[in-house]
Amino acid sequence: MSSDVCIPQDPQEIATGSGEGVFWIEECIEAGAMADYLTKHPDGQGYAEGWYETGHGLHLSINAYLLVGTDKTLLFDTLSPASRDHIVEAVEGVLGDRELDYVVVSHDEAPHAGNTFALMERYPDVTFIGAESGSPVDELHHFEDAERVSYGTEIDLGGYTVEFVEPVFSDSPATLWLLEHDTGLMCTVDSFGFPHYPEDCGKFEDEMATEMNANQMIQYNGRSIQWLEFADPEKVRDQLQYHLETYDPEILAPAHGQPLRGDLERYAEYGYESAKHLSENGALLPLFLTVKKLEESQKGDGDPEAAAGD
Amino acid sequence: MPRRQLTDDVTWVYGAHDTGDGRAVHTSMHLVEGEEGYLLINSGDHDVREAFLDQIRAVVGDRGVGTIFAQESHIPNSANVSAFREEYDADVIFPGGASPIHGLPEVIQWPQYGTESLYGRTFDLTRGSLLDLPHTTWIFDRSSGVLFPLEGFCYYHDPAETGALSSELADGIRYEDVHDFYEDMLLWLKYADPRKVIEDLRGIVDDFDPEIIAPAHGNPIVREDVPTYVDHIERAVTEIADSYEFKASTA
Repeated sequence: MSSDVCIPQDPQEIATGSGEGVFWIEECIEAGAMADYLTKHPDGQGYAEGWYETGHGLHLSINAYLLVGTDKTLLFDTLSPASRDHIVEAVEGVLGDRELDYVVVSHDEAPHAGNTFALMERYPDVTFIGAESGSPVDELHHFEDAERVSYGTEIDLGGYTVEFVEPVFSDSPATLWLLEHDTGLMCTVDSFGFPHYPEDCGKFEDEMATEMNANQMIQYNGRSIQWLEFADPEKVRDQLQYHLETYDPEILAPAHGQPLRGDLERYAEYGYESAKHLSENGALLPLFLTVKKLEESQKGDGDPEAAAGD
Repeated sequence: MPRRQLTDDVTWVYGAHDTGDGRAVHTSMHLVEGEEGYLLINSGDHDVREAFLDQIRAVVGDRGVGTIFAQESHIPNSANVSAFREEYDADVIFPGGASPIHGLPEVIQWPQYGTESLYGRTFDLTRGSLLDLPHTTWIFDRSSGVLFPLEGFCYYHDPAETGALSSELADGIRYEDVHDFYEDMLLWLKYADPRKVIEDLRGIVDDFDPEIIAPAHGNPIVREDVPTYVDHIERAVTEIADSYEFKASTA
């Protein structure tokens, strides 16, 4: 399956350490509706401050990470069904004659797990790993063929050791983060997501044309982590801070944003700021309105499209 | 996998999985009969595909299913959208819009908030307060008075009572079944401000005043049992949220 809205990116090595390489495999999707919102809608223009130039295109990434140890190999997430050929070819291109030993599904949602069975068909001896958390019923997560692991479980890949970590911003209950101890790579799944300019595909955040800020992260969190509206932002801040203190990562590798390195406290603070903003103002919805705006429109003429100002 | 009429024109098709502790969890979908066609709300998990298809075939006959409403894109509830679409060439409504990344390249987009009409019926839509994935949308069918809240109003049950309404449960709705479901299935509740969750939930109940609440993972709740359930969920959300312990050195 392919799609003209999904743009495959070549795998690139983002860390080496004692193994044979950690590779970032990116699928970018056009975020045209988000760009329109930021360009045309009064609320959106407020969110554009500090990072977005009116009318500019936007992408949102969907990321997988391939860890090639000296003994074993592991793929964390599988991209979406729209990139089935891309993920299989990218893994084959990096591994060559080597086998894929583990495929880890961060959680049971199509943009993350969408090609699990295609990869299992290509690599029939691969071990499929999913989270122990969530429902104990394997069938509800399609985990019948999976080895379900708890937080703290480690796997030695040779040169690399991965540990599964409790998530912070998760949607599905069966969600895993991953920490690789040698390189300090921490795969944070739905946490630390943000849109980027098309010319910034394949770049670390610190290589982007404009430095990312909290407004940029709100664009992702407000639509994808809608429960933040009901959150206590101080708990979110505490959990993010606790993870940084406990695991001391070098690279934050989100599923829906460019990899982050350097001053990781800054990014955690953006996560807190976005949680605080959304808890005060409500989530952003597919029609690109805040919940409050829609509720106001329902009390008025009840026309959400009109309220959107489109 | 059996079925049961909730009202004259709303059919509950259900199955259950053992949770391994003497309880079970439902997987459900609902069929709403309109003047000009059937609306299928959700499609169940992949494990029940053939059984659910058989049940639906028995109800709709040659009329077929005209439209499928995917309340979210998540395996426990929408794993069979493609199977039903292939069987009936049905339209698919998904509040997230057309999305190749969700395997839904062509859909009709309804909003998460608002009112829509289909097959001579009026449906109110709202983004529920007990949700997991983005785009999650609850639906209220004005004609029947049934609220379809997906992961809202869920609870585990005794396997011997899988087909019961809440009013038929020997022990009523048990608090621990509500608490344990949400402790397992909505991990974010420990980060919640429980007052916000409960205020939103009570607001939805007050707005719609449903005759029956038909969750994806629980026995249908009849009107007289709704206050009991709401009391249970308020206590459960508060307990789960209060269990969060601040840990960082900066806390």
